[in-house]
Amino acid sequence: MNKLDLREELLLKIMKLSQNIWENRIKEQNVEKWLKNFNSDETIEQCESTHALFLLSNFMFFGVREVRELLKSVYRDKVKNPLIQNIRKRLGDTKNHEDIATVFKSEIESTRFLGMGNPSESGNHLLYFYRQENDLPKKLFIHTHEILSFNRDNKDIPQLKLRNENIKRYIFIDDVCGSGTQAADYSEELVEEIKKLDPEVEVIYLTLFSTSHGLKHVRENTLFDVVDCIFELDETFKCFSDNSRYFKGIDKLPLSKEFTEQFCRTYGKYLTLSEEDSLGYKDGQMLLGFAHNVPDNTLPIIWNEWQDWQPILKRYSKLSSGLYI
Amino acid sequence: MELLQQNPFTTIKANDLDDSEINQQWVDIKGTGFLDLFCPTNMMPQYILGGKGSGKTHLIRYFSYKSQMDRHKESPLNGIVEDGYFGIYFLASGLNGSRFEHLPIERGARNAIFEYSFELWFAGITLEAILELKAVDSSFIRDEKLFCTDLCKLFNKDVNSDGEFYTIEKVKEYIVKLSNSVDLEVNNAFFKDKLDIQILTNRGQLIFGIPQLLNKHSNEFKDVTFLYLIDELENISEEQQKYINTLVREKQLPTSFRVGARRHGIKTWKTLGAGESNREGHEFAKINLDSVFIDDKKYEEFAVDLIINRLIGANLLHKDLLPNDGTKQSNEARKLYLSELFEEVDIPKLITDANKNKKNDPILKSFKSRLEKATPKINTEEIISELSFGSDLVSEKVAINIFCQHWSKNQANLKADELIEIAKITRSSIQEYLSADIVDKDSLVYKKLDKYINNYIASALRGISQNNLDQYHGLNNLLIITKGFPRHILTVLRHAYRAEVFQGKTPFANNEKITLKSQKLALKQSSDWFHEDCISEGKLGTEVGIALDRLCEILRIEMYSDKPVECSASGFTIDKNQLSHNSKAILEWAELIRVIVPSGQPRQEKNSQRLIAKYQVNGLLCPRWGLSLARRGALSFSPEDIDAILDASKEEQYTEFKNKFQASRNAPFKLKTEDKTPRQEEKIKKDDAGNFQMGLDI
Repeated sequence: MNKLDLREELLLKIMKLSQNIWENRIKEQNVEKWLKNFNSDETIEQCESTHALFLLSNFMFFGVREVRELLKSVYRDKVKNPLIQNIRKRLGDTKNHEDIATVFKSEIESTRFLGMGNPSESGNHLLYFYRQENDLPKKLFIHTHEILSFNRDNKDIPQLKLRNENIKRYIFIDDVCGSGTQAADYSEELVEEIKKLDPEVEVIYLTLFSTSHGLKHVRENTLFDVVDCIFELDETFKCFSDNSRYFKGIDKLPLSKEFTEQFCRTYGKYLTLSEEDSLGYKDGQMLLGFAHNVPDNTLPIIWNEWQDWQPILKRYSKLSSGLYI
Repeated sequence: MELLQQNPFTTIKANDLDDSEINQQWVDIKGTGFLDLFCPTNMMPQYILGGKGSGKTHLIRYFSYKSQMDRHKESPLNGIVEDGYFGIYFLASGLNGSRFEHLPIERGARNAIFEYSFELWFAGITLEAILELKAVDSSFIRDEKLFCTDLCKLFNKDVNSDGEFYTIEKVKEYIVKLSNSVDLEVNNAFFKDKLDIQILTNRGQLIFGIPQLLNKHSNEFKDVTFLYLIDELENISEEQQKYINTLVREKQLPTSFRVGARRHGIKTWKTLGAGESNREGHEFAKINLDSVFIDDKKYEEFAVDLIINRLIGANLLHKDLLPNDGTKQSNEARKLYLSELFEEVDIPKLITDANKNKKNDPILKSFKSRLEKATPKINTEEIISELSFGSDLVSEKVAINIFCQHWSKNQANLKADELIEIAKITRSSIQEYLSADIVDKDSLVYKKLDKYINNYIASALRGISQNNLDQYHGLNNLLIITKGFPRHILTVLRHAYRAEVFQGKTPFANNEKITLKSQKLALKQSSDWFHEDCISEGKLGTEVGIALDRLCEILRIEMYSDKPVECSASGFTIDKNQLSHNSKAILEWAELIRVIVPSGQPRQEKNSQRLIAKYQVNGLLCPRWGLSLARRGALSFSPEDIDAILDASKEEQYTEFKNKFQASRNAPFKLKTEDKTPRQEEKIKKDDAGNFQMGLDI
């Protein structure tokens, strides 16, 4: 049978992905530019750029449409339905719609949604879509600094208190939980304070995607009452793990996981100046990106712009976001 | 994203077009056009048959009143009167006929309910059409109240005793209400003991009655033919088709029918009642759309116009930009204009350039691996060195062909060491041919090149890039590949457009050429799409898929072999009468879904007087297997061999046949192990001294 050569085959796959799923963000010249970062060799087994093309053909990109659907799911499956289940239980397993709706309204009004991280980061960016997609009132959304307030007592000593004591739950939303570090930091800085002031207040952490490892870490090391995600990325989503899904069936191709890992690690180290982060923040090894950003847990060869490196997708980094204004 | 959305070739199904697009994208064939074939004012009913993508729906919808009104925007009523027909289009499956198939009632009652339901549905659509006309000219029915009174009389009982149905809207509402009440009963039949349906009309009373009344009550419609355009007949059951056939048989003036179906979609020609069959030429005429484009020129002209129309529709080509004046220009000029939008390439140069930097000679490398299997062992290195022509892979293929042909023909007499001598003679004859100032048309090399050039080029291309897709570049090849299938050319161009956009270009604009790369990717994708589409069609689809894979595998072996017998083979001949029942069914299905296409009329064999049929693999499948478009040669299969190919259950027989076939076309051939006889020695010497004929028949 007539076959395209492997590079053509991979490029064709990338073209279809770009035009049908990736919102046409990647053109051939972007790919060619990116491939120039890598060495090329006539022997495919030694050709970094062919291996890089293979990685790109396995990249998971979530466009605006998909992210909006995921945000619908976050609300419906992780907020609304559990709340309704809880209400029904409290009301003796009632099926009375009106009763449920009345209590639900009161519960949702005593809920506040927040983005994880500072207002310029993904978590907060997502809240706008989240509110739109789920038809939620603006008043349910606050900044983290609106949770607590400082009052002075009669001796003029600052007293920390919850700004609105009627709030029953705070729900933090983010796109990805990779290592779980950010959630753990938040827990230390904020959740612990909330819990100290009112242990009854629920603090929930919900993400669109989370690694199994990150979920476990946050569940075990923080005071969040609920830690959950829509899509759990198990070890198979870790690019170079033993059971990596990306390299399944690789034996039928003249490609090698070890070779790919080797050059990704070498370039990653050069790009991040770190051994630990050479395959993504805290060895994330993700192959994942969104229309609004690429997580730092994703392989740096995809997004990094250190010196003359040409990224295939840009990451709007926390530290250097000003560069992209 | 915007550029992608402007792709003029995105819509490949007429079902996805609106009425104005049906007109905008309408292209007629030159000479006896569709209008002549369809002849909408002719009262003889027609069945419009054709494979998937043959243009049935576009053709039928073009004659619907909605398209007519769009064409005559200025004065729709006058336009329809001038056309002389009023077309009412609907899909046969629109009534969801399968609902009636399993009703828990006896067959007679079930059929009666279906017929009544169909009658009401038909009538509702027809009145809706009349209402649309009334909206543009309310006076075209002289006395609407009287018309409605007559309409109500078409029912078997007095439905208008109160005189409440004095407008067409009200009669239509009543009919829709009746139709809904039948639907309600039918849909709930499984939950009821008894169906509450009262049948208020006789068969055809509304279907034929409404047009007759319009004739009577409208001056304008006095001579207008009522054309019921029923599409996708294949989607209703045999029993329901009988009902349509009965309407066709019992049609009453001024009504006629045009019925569209796939060729394999006609389940019966029988009618209800006595079960008589409608006969072609008596009760109906048949148009086979698949045969409309058999003529190369007709298809070419049609396809060129189709592409130009789409480009103009997408504002990628302005009429003024066309050479001469838009529609009046010659087709040759249009074709030339389009041809220039496709990048073409000098294939021999492409091969030579691509091979220059290769470390290994791909053609000789694989040939050498075959020679190494010869017994007794031969001096492979020396033979390969004689047959090597550097980056000229085509000459190498000629050399292998001539060398193998001689070896194969004399395999019982040749000894291993004599092969070197043959290789040397082969080399010198090719060198002589290449260095001659005047082409020696009598030389074997010339004859080989003349006949097998497509084979050699395909092999050379495959040698350098795993495929020969570059061989199909250019508009001419595109027209050959898609011949007979308008949808195919649109599909290829749709993919080519997308590939161009990915390359950052604006396809078809500013005279930018569609690159070779885009053409190649588009062909690969279209070919694979068609293959997947075919093998999922019908209950024999999977088996046709297996048969097709086998057939093309054999043709591919022939095409790329060391010693092809047939040049540019992408077809085969068989005696259909010798086929097993199973194989015959698969062959016929493959033909119906047009995976294979008959090539001319069957010819009679001289000795046996048997009729031998010739088929070609569908052009769009050729790029998938790297087969030739030249369609010169055809393999002739014995009944046993073709059975092994066609019958999915004969895996073992097929493998055995394939191995035998492969061995007959590729080195190594047999060698003599004993000493030569003096007679044989003499023969080789004589040949060697001769005009390098080597006793070959080509």
